[in-house]
Amino acid sequence: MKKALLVLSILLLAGGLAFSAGQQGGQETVLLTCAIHIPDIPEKFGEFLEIFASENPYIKIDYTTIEDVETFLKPKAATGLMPDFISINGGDFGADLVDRGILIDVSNTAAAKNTVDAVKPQFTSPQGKLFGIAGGVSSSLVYYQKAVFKDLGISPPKNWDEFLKVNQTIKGAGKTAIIITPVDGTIANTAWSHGFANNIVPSNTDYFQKFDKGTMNLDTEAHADVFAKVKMLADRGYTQGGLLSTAYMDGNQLYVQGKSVQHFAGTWLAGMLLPTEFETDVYPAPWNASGKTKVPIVATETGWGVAEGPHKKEGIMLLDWLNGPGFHYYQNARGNIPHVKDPMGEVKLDAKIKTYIDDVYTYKLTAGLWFEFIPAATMQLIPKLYQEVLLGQKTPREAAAAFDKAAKDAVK
Amino acid sequence: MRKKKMLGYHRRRKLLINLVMLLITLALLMPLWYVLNNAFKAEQEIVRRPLVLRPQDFTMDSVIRAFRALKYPARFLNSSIILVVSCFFLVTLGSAAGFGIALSNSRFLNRIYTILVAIITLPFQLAMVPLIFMLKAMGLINSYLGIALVYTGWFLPFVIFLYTGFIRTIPKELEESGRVDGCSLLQSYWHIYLPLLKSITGTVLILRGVPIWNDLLVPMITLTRSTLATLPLKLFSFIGQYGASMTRWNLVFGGTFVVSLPILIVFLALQRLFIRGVVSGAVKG
Amino acid sequence: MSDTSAIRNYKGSRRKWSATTRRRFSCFLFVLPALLVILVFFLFPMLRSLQYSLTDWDGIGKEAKWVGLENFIWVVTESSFRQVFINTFYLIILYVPVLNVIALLLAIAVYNVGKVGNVYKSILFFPNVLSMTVVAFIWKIIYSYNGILNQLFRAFGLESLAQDWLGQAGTVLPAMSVSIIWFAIGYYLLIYLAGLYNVPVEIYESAEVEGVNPVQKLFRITIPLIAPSITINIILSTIGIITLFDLPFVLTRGGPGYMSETIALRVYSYAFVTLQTSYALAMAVILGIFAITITLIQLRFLRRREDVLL
Repeated sequence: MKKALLVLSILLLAGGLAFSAGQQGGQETVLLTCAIHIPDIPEKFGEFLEIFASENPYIKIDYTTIEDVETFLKPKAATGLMPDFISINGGDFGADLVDRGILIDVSNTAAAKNTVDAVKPQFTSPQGKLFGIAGGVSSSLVYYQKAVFKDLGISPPKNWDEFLKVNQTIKGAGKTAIIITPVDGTIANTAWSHGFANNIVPSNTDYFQKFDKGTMNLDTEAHADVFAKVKMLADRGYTQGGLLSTAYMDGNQLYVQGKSVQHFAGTWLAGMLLPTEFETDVYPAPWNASGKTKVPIVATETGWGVAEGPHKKEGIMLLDWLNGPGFHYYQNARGNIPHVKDPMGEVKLDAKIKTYIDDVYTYKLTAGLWFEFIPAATMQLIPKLYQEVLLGQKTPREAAAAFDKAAKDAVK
Repeated sequence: MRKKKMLGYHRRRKLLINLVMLLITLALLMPLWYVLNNAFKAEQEIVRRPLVLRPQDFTMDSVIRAFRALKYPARFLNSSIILVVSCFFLVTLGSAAGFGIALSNSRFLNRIYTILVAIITLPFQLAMVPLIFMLKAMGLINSYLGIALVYTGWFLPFVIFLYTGFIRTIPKELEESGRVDGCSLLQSYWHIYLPLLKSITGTVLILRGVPIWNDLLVPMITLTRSTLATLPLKLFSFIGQYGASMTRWNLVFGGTFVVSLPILIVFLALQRLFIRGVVSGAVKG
Repeated sequence: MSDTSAIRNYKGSRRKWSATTRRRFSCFLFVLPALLVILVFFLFPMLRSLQYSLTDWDGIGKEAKWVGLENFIWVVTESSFRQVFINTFYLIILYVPVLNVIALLLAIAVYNVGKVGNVYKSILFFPNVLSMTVVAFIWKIIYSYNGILNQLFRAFGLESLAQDWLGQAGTVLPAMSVSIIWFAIGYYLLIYLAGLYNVPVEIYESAEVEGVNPVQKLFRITIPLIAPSITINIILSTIGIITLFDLPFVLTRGGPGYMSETIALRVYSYAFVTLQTSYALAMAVILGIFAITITLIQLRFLRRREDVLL
């Protein structure tokens, strides 16, 4: 009996050890580790990867979804455990990785050749290397219920003052005017980026470089206003109930259920927010002061990069596939703005979004989205600062000063 | 006469206490019922009728979808392997150590024991950060063995405490008579003491096994490959993607239900053992 | 000749001495593997934390320049730390007394209801076998703006009570505390119950005869006699709440703002979110000192009461 127990426990132990050993081994098939940030269609993207794998049977996919690109990749880069195929944002983080040889330069791939030039600058490093292919062109804008606007006799506002009037009318009708999402980076994608674009970019057109050098002065009234605007919306009762516990998907779901008349969100959500039961249309976010020209957001979406390593050939294959023959799967699931010159297969781009982006392209001055230019270490500060301002714990000016300090510290 | 009055008083008091207890336990069960009945509903029904499950609303859809999305069988396997390996280490190393400490008369070992007991109170966070870097250096990230060793290092002091306390209650004559019969220490450990440790081992398994099965922090910081994720970790990343948002609640409920099912079944089946384990562990404290 | 006999005698006495030592050594061998694992996977990293918290080690390279208490000063003077510290303290106050009072009262109730108490015991212990992740998600939905709690309030016309429980500074920590108490109550109940069973029944019986009323019974008899259980529970629940991670992390992630961020959450944030290793170590050391200090104070205070009362 005891001998049996002994044998059993040794077997169990051996089994456990064997399993753990087996996890780290590799065989003839190439196990392509993919770490992807794609919060709105995680399951679908996994399916796309499987389609790619089925077309290349010797490749097996190990698919991980990640919440935040920089947070996930930074320790991996440091310890040499980089996944083969990764999501990467434009900006200094990726640039640093490619200049250090952790990511490969993809300028000569079929994917790069098929990509419009407008989305390459953010993905190009100081040494001139292209470290990633943009996942699309993106912007953020206001989605709204057309019928409600018609009933209330209002039309899309063109500047901040008109925006406040529109919200007041909606509130008067007993409805929630707009959804703001302060819990996570969504608010940075919307309120902060547009505030920054309209208040600060016109007098700081070289903001990319200023952030890099740490000379961007953000302890200003202009920056404080970026925070103050959201506080104003909340204080006047234009935002949804449960404001401070509304996260990315919560906000989206609220709009889809018709619980708010307007929603401030990204173009990448068009696939989810446009086909609602009620008719939804879009208009550019009116974060400009009346009389001033709007500065719209034209930014790149989280794209993909390939890590230097034994599987880089397969990584490039996947990259070319996603931006070539396999592009339509991705594009049609999201309906966002394509970055490829020649989308093979039928692609879906909602007419409303097309109208919007064509209009945006007419503006001379545009700005990027926050994560493309602020230091990686300050990213999680923006939602927190908004939360503190909304809680009344920091004045907008104090929030601006805190961010200014953190941005300068990060570059030291 | 007085006795009768006292009896009546007792009975009334018992009734009152029972009533209060009933209310309290019902209140406690409410959140569980909330999850249970909503795990078997479609999205819209959850908001419309949050506390009632009508036969016509019953659907396995949410549970099944959550089961698939979580890649449940693989996660269950991961959690199981980690549990088994960790418990194996804890029981073997812990019982051996308890044996050694309890049976030696060494002042040295007793001092070590005192230090071990003090270590029990130290927070995991104190070791957490360098531990992760050390695991990376040893190549034990993304391995069952690595996680098991983390749990072992962390929980061994407590397990040794339990075993030592228990073995100390076994009369020393047992070992002495074994020695007279010519048993080496190893033999007496194996043949004499180990069989006696069944009940305390049960306590150990429950007091440490359950937290290991349910833990989130350690897998979260030691695993980068999702294929190795445990049930709690996968549930966290799964819901984090969708957000505990309004219409995805059915998946949240389905997911939490299906993740909790194994431990619930075990608990329902072994209630007495669980409670006895906790109590005896507490008494040793 | 005399030399060899002397040698033989010497050998003999040495053999007797080494038997005991050999035994001690064998016992030590039994303890050794466990000690090694503890040392390597727990103590050694802990010492490293202490050591490297005084340097600017970033966890990756080998370079670590001595910076003295600079890390500690930075994390403590950082603007949100004050709130984090207050939160940790506040949570202790919200949790430990409430949990222990409720657990004790429930234990007394279960003690007095007889056989059916076993059912109550099981039910009350039930939440404790769930993963804290699961518990957090359950309560996250219960507390959400359109969740069951607010729904009930609105249904009963108590509109004003329906609020954003986890999104308001004033309600987030009490709400969190309720969920943790829900999770842990069964465990502490069982410990108190064990303590109650240790009290000889005759004491209660003679109290009955003497006509002692329930309140007096509680304070004069029960509490003094289960003082060791009280001590254990208070220390365990305090350490538990100080080092708690899983539940606050999943429930609120420290929000809104920093209103529910505890020192334990902060260690994780510095270590794995902002990747500032030296600050993470400093915060971990602060956590350790905080926990140890409070435990020692409690031990002294409670042990002294124990002695007095017994």
